[in-house]
Amino acid sequence: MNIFSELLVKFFFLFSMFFLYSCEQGNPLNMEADILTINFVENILIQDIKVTSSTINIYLDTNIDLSNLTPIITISKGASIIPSSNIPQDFRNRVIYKVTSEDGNWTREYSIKIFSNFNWEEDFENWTCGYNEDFEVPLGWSSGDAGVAILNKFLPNYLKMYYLTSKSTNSYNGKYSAELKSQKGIGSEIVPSLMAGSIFIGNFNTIYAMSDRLKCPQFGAIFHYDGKSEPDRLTGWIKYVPGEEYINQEGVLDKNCSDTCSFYAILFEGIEPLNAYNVQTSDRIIAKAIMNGKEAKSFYSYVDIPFEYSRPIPKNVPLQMTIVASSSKYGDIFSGAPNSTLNIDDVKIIFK
Amino acid sequence: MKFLVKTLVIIFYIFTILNVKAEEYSLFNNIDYRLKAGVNLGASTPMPIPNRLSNLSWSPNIGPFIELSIVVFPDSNIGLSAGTKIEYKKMDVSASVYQLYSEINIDNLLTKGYFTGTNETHLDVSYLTIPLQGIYKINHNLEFVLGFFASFNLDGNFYGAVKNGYIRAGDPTGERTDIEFSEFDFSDELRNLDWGCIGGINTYLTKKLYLNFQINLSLSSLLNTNFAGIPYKLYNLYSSLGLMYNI
Repeated sequence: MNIFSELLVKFFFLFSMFFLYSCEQGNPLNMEADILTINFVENILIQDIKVTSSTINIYLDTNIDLSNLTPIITISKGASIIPSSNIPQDFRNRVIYKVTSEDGNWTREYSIKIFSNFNWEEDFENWTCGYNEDFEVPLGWSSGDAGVAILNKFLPNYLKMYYLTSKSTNSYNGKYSAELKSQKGIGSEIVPSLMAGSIFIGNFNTIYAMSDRLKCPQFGAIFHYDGKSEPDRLTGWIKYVPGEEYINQEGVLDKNCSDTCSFYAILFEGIEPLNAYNVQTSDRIIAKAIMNGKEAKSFYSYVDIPFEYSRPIPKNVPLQMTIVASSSKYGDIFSGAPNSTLNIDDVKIIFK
Repeated sequence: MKFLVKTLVIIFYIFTILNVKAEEYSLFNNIDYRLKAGVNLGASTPMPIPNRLSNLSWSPNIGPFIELSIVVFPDSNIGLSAGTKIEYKKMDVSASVYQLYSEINIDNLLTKGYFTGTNETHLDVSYLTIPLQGIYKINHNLEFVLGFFASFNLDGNFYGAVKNGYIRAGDPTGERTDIEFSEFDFSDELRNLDWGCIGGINTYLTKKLYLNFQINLSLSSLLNTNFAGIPYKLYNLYSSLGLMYNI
């Protein structure tokens, strides 16, 4: 009987101890090892670069000395970075930064390279693979494949998608052209029923890949206006074979429609990039050069599109420009024909 | 159903033995049949609560129970009780989650990664429970109860949603992507058997009617032990308040 009451006491003691200690103490340590933003002491950018992937390519259309630039890098809370921020580096070659999380268990490597003297001409001869990534983009460009890559990370093997942009030996000039191809998707919550191949000048922000896809492309790169050389015409060599079965916005086959491609350049003001919602409609747009899709032929043909100015180029404001090409004109609303294929080569903006 | 049948057989067996024993030995001539009904209130929780969960908000979700037990008193102060109980254990919890490994359902596909954001979880399970308890009469007004229970899952739901956050694919250095709303359903991972210990008190309201308060703590994991969708084991921790009638 005594044993029994003793047991009872012990039981209730244990039980109360249990409640006292039932919450882990302290704040959890951060596991993230991200570079959040990059800028430079030398003031070569118009705004901080918001980093979302391990490969950071920075394109400048001016010619500056890259051998001794001092980056200002912000990282995840509590994380550490080697080499340190604020130490000059030679950005003519890739600089690898290694970030270690606050809890010390996770590391992430980033590679940063700066390309200077980008002159708004592209022959699509130089391609680059993202650092730790397996899709190729023309050097200096971004593509929607960054979105395909992140969806693939979440999808099981049997649903993984092909990349939509590749280098093709079917070129107009030189060894390669850029080949963009539309692809049928499974048409679900995160995978649209049609995905168009796209390349553009700007960055692809993967954060919105599953929540708000049209915010992923961040169109625009710095355009230094010298006061006289206005962008005048967008030119390029284009070959386009539309796919046979057109899928409309509802994901349904539409026999009355045929696919067209898109190719355009936008000059705009401001430090924020444009996205797929406002790239052709923002009130920050100064000039547009937009190809009428019907000009495209099934063999290489030259397109020459004049910029149409809605107002003169303002002085002393940051300017940006972007060039965009897509294998389905309405790929942004996930409408188009699977297998529509756009080959594009020797793109050039001609200045006055 | 297989479990249900097994359980009923076991209960029948126990009752029979107790009855036979009770008749055989005059020692056990003091037999009570007790009918108890009341409510369960509690949570299925990791222990201890990890510091990656915060802003826990728990909405009371009451689960009823009804229990019939037989008590024999070999001693005037000490009793042994066996019973059978149909009960519900329910919970609704919302919490802020910080970098927690999760398996969530995006697009009907299982997605694995580290989630930061808000998590809402709903649980309701019905159990057929067999409590085996020792009863110690302190005085004429108060009894202590201590024992074990085994619960057989009759039916259950364990589902919820993650929202207003982001997930990092695979590990904490994976690509980050925002999640506005995504559901998960782990109902199939509820274990068939849940067992643990009971501690409680009975106070006499009238000669025949008691008020019962007890705590039921599971010592076995709520979900299948090889299930990796939640990095913690969850344990049922429920208190129950009931009225007990000595038939």
